[in-house]
Order: sequence, then C-alpha cells, then structure tokens
Amino acid sequence: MADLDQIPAQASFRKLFLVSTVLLVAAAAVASFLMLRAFVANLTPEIEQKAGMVGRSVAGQVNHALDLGIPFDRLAGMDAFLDRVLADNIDIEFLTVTDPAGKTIFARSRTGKSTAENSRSVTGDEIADGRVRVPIGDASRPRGSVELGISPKVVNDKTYAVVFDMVIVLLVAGLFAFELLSLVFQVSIAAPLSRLWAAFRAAASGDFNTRVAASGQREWEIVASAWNDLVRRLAETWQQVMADAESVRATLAEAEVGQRLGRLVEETKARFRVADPLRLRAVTVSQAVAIRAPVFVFIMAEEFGRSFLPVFIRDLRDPASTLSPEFAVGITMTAFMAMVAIVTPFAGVIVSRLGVRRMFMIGIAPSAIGYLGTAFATSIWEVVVWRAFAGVGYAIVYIVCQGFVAGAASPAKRAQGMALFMGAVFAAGVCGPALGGVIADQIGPRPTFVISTGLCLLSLSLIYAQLRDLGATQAPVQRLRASDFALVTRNPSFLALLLFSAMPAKIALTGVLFYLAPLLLAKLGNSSAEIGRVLMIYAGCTALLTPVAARIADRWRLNGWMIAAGGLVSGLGLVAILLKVDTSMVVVGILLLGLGHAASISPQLAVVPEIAARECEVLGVTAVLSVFRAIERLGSVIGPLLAAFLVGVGGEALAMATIGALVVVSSLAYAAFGRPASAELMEARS
Amino acid sequence: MTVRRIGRRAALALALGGSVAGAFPRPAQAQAPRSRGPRIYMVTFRGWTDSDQGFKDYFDRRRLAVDIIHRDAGGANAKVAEIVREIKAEKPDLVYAWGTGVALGVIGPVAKPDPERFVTDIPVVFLNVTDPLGSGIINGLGPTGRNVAGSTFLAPIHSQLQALHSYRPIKRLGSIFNPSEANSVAVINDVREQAKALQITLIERPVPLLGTEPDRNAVPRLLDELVAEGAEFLFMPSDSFLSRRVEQVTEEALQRRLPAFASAEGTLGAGQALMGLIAKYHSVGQLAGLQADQILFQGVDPGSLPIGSLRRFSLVLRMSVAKRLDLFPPMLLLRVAEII
Amino acid sequence: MSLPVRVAAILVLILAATVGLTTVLAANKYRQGLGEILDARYRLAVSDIVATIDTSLDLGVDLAAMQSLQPQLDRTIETDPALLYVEVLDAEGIVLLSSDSSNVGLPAPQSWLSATRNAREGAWQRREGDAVVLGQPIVASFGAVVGTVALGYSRAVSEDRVQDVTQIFMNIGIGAVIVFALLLVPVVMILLRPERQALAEAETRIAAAARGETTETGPDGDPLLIAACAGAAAAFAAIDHIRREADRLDEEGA
Repeated sequence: MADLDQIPAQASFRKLFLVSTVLLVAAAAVASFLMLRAFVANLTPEIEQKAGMVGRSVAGQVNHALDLGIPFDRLAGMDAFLDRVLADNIDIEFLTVTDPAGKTIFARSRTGKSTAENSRSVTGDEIADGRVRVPIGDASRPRGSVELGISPKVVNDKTYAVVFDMVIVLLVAGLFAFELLSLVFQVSIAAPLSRLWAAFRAAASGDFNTRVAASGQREWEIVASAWNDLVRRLAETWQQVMADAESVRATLAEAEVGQRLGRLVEETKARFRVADPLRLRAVTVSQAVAIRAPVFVFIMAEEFGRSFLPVFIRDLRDPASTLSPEFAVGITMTAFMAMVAIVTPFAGVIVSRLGVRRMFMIGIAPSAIGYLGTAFATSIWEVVVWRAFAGVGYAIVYIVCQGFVAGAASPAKRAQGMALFMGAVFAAGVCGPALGGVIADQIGPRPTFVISTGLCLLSLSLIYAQLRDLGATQAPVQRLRASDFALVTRNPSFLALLLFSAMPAKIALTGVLFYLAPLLLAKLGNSSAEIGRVLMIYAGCTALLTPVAARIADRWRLNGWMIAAGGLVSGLGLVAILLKVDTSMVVVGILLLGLGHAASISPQLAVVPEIAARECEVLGVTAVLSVFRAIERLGSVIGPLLAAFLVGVGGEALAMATIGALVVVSSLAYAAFGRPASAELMEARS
Repeated sequence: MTVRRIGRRAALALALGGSVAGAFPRPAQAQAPRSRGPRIYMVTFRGWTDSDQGFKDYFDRRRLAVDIIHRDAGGANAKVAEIVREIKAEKPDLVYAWGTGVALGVIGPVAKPDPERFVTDIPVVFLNVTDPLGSGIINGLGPTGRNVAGSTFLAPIHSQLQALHSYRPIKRLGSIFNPSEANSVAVINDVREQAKALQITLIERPVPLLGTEPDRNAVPRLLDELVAEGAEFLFMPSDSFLSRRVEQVTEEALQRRLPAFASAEGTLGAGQALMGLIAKYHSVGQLAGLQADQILFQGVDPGSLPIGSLRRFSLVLRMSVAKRLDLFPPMLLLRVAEII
Repeated sequence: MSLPVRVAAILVLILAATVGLTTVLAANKYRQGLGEILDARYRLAVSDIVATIDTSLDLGVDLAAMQSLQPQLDRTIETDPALLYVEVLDAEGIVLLSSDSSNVGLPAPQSWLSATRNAREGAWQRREGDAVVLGQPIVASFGAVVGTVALGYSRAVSEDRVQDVTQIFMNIGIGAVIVFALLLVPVVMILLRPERQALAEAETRIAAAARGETTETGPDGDPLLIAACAGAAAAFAAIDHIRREADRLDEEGA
C-alpha cells in the first residue's frame, strides 16, 4: 500500500486540490449565474406577450359592457370577473381598470389587496417594468385602459428549477474534480514517488538493486531517470571493478595480499547489494487510492437510477397484467436486493481465489449488462432479470473493495483504506440520484440506463489501467456455516439488535428511500431531477454525520442509546407524512431517516463484539459480523415487498407512515429489551 | 390535399404568383341525394317551429342522408290519431313527436301502451314536452326501456336559481303563481327545495282563484306583500296564467323596483322580465336530431338512451330593464348572455 | 506534459463538461419554459374563440353562419408572427372559417378530425413537421361535437429563439472556461513550484551523486533522499577504494 504520509508532495497537493476545486466551482457558479440572467431576460418578454393577450381580452369584455350602455362606474361584478382572470392566469399578479381620465376604478391583485394608484390612459399596448397596459375600445379614442402586473412567479419557478439543476451539476462537478484530481495525484505523483522513495529507502540501507520505471519527461520521471542512471552507473562500475579486482587477484603471487583484496571485496559486497545492470528489478507498490475512482464511478452507475427507476418500472407494466403495479415495482427492487444478499457470502470466497483486479472486472460485467438490459427492457419480468444481474455485480464489486481494504497490513492503513472506499461510496450516493434524475429529465430514463452502462465501462477501464499490479486479497476469508448462524442467533441481545434495529433500518432504507419516496414524490408532481435532489439528502446526511455520530457514541459510550434514538428519529420522520401529504413532509421524512441512520449504523456494528463476546471468541469477530450482515440483508429484501403490500392496502403515504411506525415500535422494543446494560458493557470492555 | 397546410406566408406567395388555391371542388357527398336515407316522420302540432328546423339542420350539417316526411296536426288531437294510422301503414324508420299532445298521441301513456292505438314497433323521439313525467309519457329520467327516446327542455331549477344568484346574491325570493296548475305548483315546490342550498328563502304568493280562474286584480296586492316581506327578485314559473298576464305582472313589479326572473320562454319573450334561463328551441331540435342519429346510424337501442337535456341554456338579459332598475348585470354573466 | 499543465488541463476539461452540461440543462429548461408559455398563450387564443362560438351557438346562430368571427380570427393571427393559421371546422372537418381564406370549403386533414373524435371533448395537440396544431372541439349545447377550432403555429420561430438563447449560454460557458483556464495555469504553477523545485533539487543531488560528488546537505533536503545519496556516495567510495587497491596491487605485482 502506498505510504502516502511519506511522500513529500502531499501538502502542496492538498492545497492544490482545495484551491483548484474552489476555483472550478466558482467559475462554474459565475457562468451559471450569467446564464440564469440570460434565461430570465429571454423568458420575460414571452410572458409579457401573453399578458398582453389577457389584457386585450379583458379590455374587449369591458368594451362590450360599455357598448351595451352600462356606465363605467356601474359595471357590476368586476371584482369577481378580474379574480376569475387572475385565477385562470397564474402569470398575472394584478389587474387594474382605469377610466379615460386615468382614475383607477377597479383593481384586483393576487394578494387580495388592491393597488389603487392612479394610472394614465393609453392609446396602444405598452409594456414596461413588468406591466402591460392595454386601451379599452378604439385605440384612437380609448374609453379607459386595463393594466396588468406580471407575476414573477412563473419565471421564478422556472428559474428555481434551473438553479437547482445547476447547483447539482456544480456539486457533482466539484466532487468529480476532487475524485479525478485524487486519481491524477495517485497516478502521476503518489505512486511513482512512493516507488522512488522505496528505492531511496533501499539505497539508504545499501540496496541498489531497484530501479524505478520511468520513460517520460515529467518532473518525477527526470528524477527517476537520474536515479536509474545512478543505479546503472553504480552497477556498471561495480561489475567492472569487481571483475578487475578478480583478475588482479588471480595474477597475484602472494596469497596473503590476494586474500586481503578478497576480504575487502567481500566486505563491500556485504555492505552494498548491487545487481547486474541487466537484472535490476523494478519496485512495485500496491495502491489503495487507485480503487477510489473506479468505485465512485461504479456506485454512481447504480445510484443514477435511484430517482426514476420505480416510476419507470411502474409505467412499464403491461396494463393487462394481473400483477399490481405496486408489486411489479416491489419485485424488481427485491430482485436486486435478493441477489446482493445471496451473492455476498460467496463473493468473498471467490475474491480470495481470483484476486481483486480480476474479480472487480468480473463484477462490473453483470452490472453493465443489467443496466443495458433495463434500458431496452419491454416487460416487468425482463427488468426483474436485469436488476438481478445488476445486484450480482453490485455485491461482487462491494465485497471485492471491502476485502481489498480490509486486507491491509496494519489497522491504521485498514482504517485509512476503508475511509477512502466509503468516501467514494458516499460521494456517489450524494451525486448519483441527483445527477441521474437531472439527466433522466432531459433525455429520458432509458438513455440514462445506457449512460449507467457507460459508467460501468469507465470504471472497468480505470480498474484495468490502475490496478495492474494488485494481488489477491490477504483478508482471511471463511465460509459461513449454518452452525455459525445457529450459534450466534441463540444470543438474545444479538437477536434483539438484529430484529429491533438493524432489519427495520434496512426495511426503511429499501422500502421507503428506494421504493416509496420516489413513487410518492412522482405522484406529488415532482420531476426526476427534483426526486433525485430529495433522495440526495439521505446520502448527504449519512455521509456527513455517520463519522460524527460514531465518535460521539464511542466517546460517551452511548452506543445502545444512539441505536434506539436513531431508530426512533428515523421512524417518527416517516410517520410525520400523516400530518400532511406533500413534498415538504417527504423531505422531512428523508432528512430524519438520514439523521437516524447516521446515528445508529456505526453503533450497531460497534456493539456486536460486545454483546456477542462469547460467540466472537469461538468464531472470530469477522464471522459474527458476517452473520449479522447476512441476516440484516434480509431486511433489504423484505423492504420493497412490504412497501408494495402496504401501498396496495392504503397508498404510498400510509405505507410510509406504517413502515415508520414499525421502526418506532421496534426502536422502543430495542430500548426496552435489547440495549446492553451498562454493567454488561463495562464488563465486555474490560 | 397535401397542398394545404402551407402556412400563411407561403400561401401569400402563391397568391401573389397568380395561382389561387381553394379551387378544389367540395366533396361529392354534400350533394348526395336524400331519398336513399332512412325515412323519418316528423309530426308537429302547430306548424313548423325552430325545433323542427334544428332537427332538420342536424342532418344537413352532418350531410347525413335522411328522407323527411312532415305531418302537421294543426292543433287538433284527432288529427294526431289520423297521422298515427298513416305511420302504422307507411312504417317509416323513425317518428319525431313534437310537444305533449303529439307525444301522448303517438307514444301513449307509459302505463298502458296499446299497440293498436300507439306506435310501439317504430322508434319515437319526442321533444318540447313541458313535463314528460307529469304527463305520463315516461316514468323516470333514465333509459325508457321502450322504443322511445326523448328530452326535457326546461332548464333545471338549480341552474335557474344559480343564474339568478349570479346576477345578484339574494336572500329572499318572491314568487306568484297559479295554484290550480299542477305544473306550476311542481315548479314552486322544486324551487323551495333547491333554494335552501343557496340559503334563499322563498316567499310564496299563490294567486287567489275566482272560481277556476286566478284573480288578476289581486296581483298588485300580492306584489306589495312580497316587497314588504323583503323580496329582492320575482320568480315567475311558466304557467298559462302568468304567460297570458306577463306584461301586466312585470310592469307592476317594475314599478315596485322588483326585477322579474322568467322560468321559461313563455314568461320571458313578452313583458319586462329582467332575465331568464331558457332552452333555445333550435338546440332542442338538434338534440332530438342527435338522438335520431344514434338510433338510425349508430344502431343504438332507443330504450337505452336516458332522457336528454341540453348542457347549456341561454341566459337572456333585458338591458332596458337593467337600466331602468339601475341594476346592471355582472361582467361574468354579460360574457355569456344574450342581450335583448 | 508537465504536471501543472496536466492538472490544469484536467480541471479545464471538468469545467468544460460542467459548463456544457449546465448549458444543455438551461437550454432545455428554456425550451420547455418557452414551449409552456407559448402553449398557454395559443391555448388562450383558441379557448377565446371557442368561448365566442359557444355563446353564439347558444344564441341559436349556426356555426356555418358565424361570419362575424372572421375579424377575431384575423386579429388573432396578426398578434404573433409564429401563428400559421386559425380555422373553424364543422363536424365533418370542412373548413368554415379560416384566417387563410383560400382554405375555406376544403376538408381539413383527416388526422385533425380523428384527433377531435379521440379527444372526446378535451383539447388536443398534434405535431405536423415543423408546425404544432392545437385543436379544441366545439361542443354544442345539445351535447354533440359540432366542430373544431384549430390553430397552427410554427415551431421554427420558437426554435430560433431557443437557438439564440443557447448560443448566449454557450458564449457565457466558453468565456468562463477561457477565463478559468487563464487563471488556473499560473495558480497551479505557483502552488506546485515547491514540489517542482524539490524534485529539481533531488535530480541535481542524484546526478551529483552519480558522478561520485557529494553535495553539501541543505537544511530542507528530504532526509531519505539525502540518506540514499549518501549511501550511493558511500558505495561509489567503497568501489573506488577497491579499484585503487586493485590498481595498487596490480602495479606492485607488475
């Protein structure tokens, strides 16, 4: 693994990352702002034109009434009439009707209060400052005028939609820039420099066997060439001098003198290890960072569909089919989750045989095929099959990466690798749904799945190019046996943690976040882009707060409480949809779901070794955690099906609330029965 | 016809170039001979009316070939029976029955349709029957289940009250009517019920009877009472007494600054009623045409058609009265109203 | 390519992609927004005409006799250069009135008639090549569809607007990328200078070591590099020692 902390360029690169990412986001933000201004400036005249039409229609009707001999000040029901016009045209803010003298006779505005300021009469249509004036009757001898104020709402609504899209793009661009810079840093700087430094370290201890592969003219390559020159010259001189010394020794008559020379040669050979110049070996270093970019891109491919997949599946369903739309969606989502659950335990075993790089590439294939198949699917059952493919790929890649980082030699490096890996997963989780939604809005869901396939291939090429020299994972892999399950699940505390916290959390994740939320948000009239933005909140919350929550729980020994409270918060957030079924309450639900999960997920894993101390002694912590994960995954499988059933019973909102209530009840049950007693905890710690 | 849809500018260019589009002949079916279509016996009671023209226009507009045979009863019920005999002999494809008299004579009462006296084996479409339920032609507004289709032509009472309420929101509605006419009493009962939903109180003043005839001299006193009780509008059902006395009643009401609302054309056409919501006879005829079209050309069973009704009625406003009362119509009504 | 240029090139590429995506998004939203506004505007025109017709129909005026509508049709078409035609069709699809008088009496495309039939009583919309046709059935008071008001408008005009606005967006984007690139290159240069200097220094040091020279140890040199160079110097010295010894012995022996 790369020893990043020993590479000198680290500090200035951090600075460079930061400055250039900020500069990039700033440039894009300025461009976005200027575009927005152009956007508004070019849309407003169109709205003004429409307002002009409305104004002419109003003026025409007033004129008709005047034609019938009704005096201006005796026009009846003008308020109701103007209110109707306001109700029919959301782009109009207020309407006033003035007599020929310019005195305002009637005025209505959207806010209810009328603006009674006097105006002047006009002889033709006038448009200025968001107001349109239209004469009543013959333009040469107007009988008054109608003035309309254009509501900024229509332009604003459209502008907000663009602003949101732009912010998402900015965010994704920032994260992307960061990931790519990391990759560049890794490829161009960190990896070669660490090779160079490894060679230096060897040289410092007298080992001059290593040379550093370098062919170009980049800065570090010049250094490397210089070093290689040095090593080669040393080796050549060494060989030559050694040969000379040998021949001199052979010609020497006095054995004693020859022995002295021989001793000198032996001593030198012992101090320095210099090889034949033809057999210098290149140093190899493994690279944990290199896995980051491919993981980011790969997870992004899956997250892309998050916002629109449920709606896509529902709309794909053959209306004649006996399968209800709810179950059609539920089954496809469960197909994915079920494959993840089934494949995960086996993937670990295969990784240990085939190696990380090959398995990663093998894992990408089913996912790529799955997305491509979904893009061209014509029926629900096809999507079920393709989603199952995607699930297989996802499970393999996830396990490969986990195994890879877990296989690191030291715990510190393990933690560092895990942070890198999870960072990529979270970053993709934040960007993916939002960006996927934006793209699907523009080009439709099917082409977006094709882009997902493209991302898989990009991930593949990154892996192919970067992870050339990765060996098999060193992580000890053991197959789980049925007896392991039997042993662990006999532990009541362990079972309580699973049933009352871990599984409900997964049910909420797949049932609500993956299934109900997108469908409900779509039903409430949100576009894919908007749904993606809402779903992004969850990933954002967990990404930002999980480490914080883990530290708090660890420091104050609050694991048990954090698990219960996290569950309670996430459940209550979902129940809150009953207060009002609208987008803002879904946002609240997802925010609290994210908060709750951020609070409870780390503590869940942290308490396992404590509550199952005896089992851990017998099987090892890894095996117990594997059992925990395997059973927990059942929750993911159940989630969409439960949600589908509940939607069938009472609709999306009620289903969401019901799952929330389930989570609340189980959290209370966990707080009452499952939470490890403090004494027990202390004992486990000591 | 691909030459069409060339857009405004292109068409202009063509015209300037001297070639004028639009010289295409009208489709041949426009001049299609009538005689080959189904035969319809149109039976009217008292001459050719707007309804009858509407019925005929319906087929003309659609270029549907029908062979129309018109028979008029000349206001005599005996003549109707004669026409029925002719119909039974001629066996046309459909019979058009105008008004209560003709409808009763052709279809017979719903209770005992005697196949000897009435037309039962040929589809009949009736129209302009003031009260088809009351006169026993049908027993409900759903499908007749017989070889009969038809329509009502009075605007529903709730629509009438709604129109009135839209003119001016009122609390108290006055009404005078002939208590000896079942029609009128039924309408007033309906008004009383429907007015509750709008929170309008109905003040009823049946005209006292002198023998069998209502006493027209009582009208000024009744109007005084209505005004005294706070009536803001006068509702006039379309009974024969009011129809005959409409000039006197509305003028007396106007002098008391009480605007009148006419429930049907009978009380609206003449006199000084401010407004009314009525069915246009031409439209009623077209509705009958639509039903006949469904029966003759689309194979619909006449018994399966519910009793038809117009979707929109004509709101008629009398501007001279509005000016006299200084009670001008609100803009929203003005837009859809017919001004007389 | 030197490191600063590579880093800058990557960042410029990302920005270009970002700005490109933003441009596409904004342009599409603009197209969508403009389309909605135009659609609402033209629908308003159509429903205005239909409202007039409804009133006339209720008054008993036959659709075929509504010559008084002609000025309204002409006025409507004059308000907007994108409008191609406004027409009133009867139930059979024959044009009764049209802003383009040469069409009167001709049958409208069959597709319009079927659109009106399929739409039952709701409005419909059709794309015909470059044009969009909005239609609204006219429903008589007796409940039958007696005709259609159809309005055609050219998408070319609004597409031109979208093109123009997209061009503006693109110019903004290209400007941003250029300014960013110009700013970025010096920034990257400056930020990476210490590293490049350190590497250059390392190269000098190694090259000197390769020549067997020892350079004086600077205070900021990397300790590992110094150790490596010292090791190399020691190795060269040791070899030199052997050579000198061998040479001496050789001479002595000779």
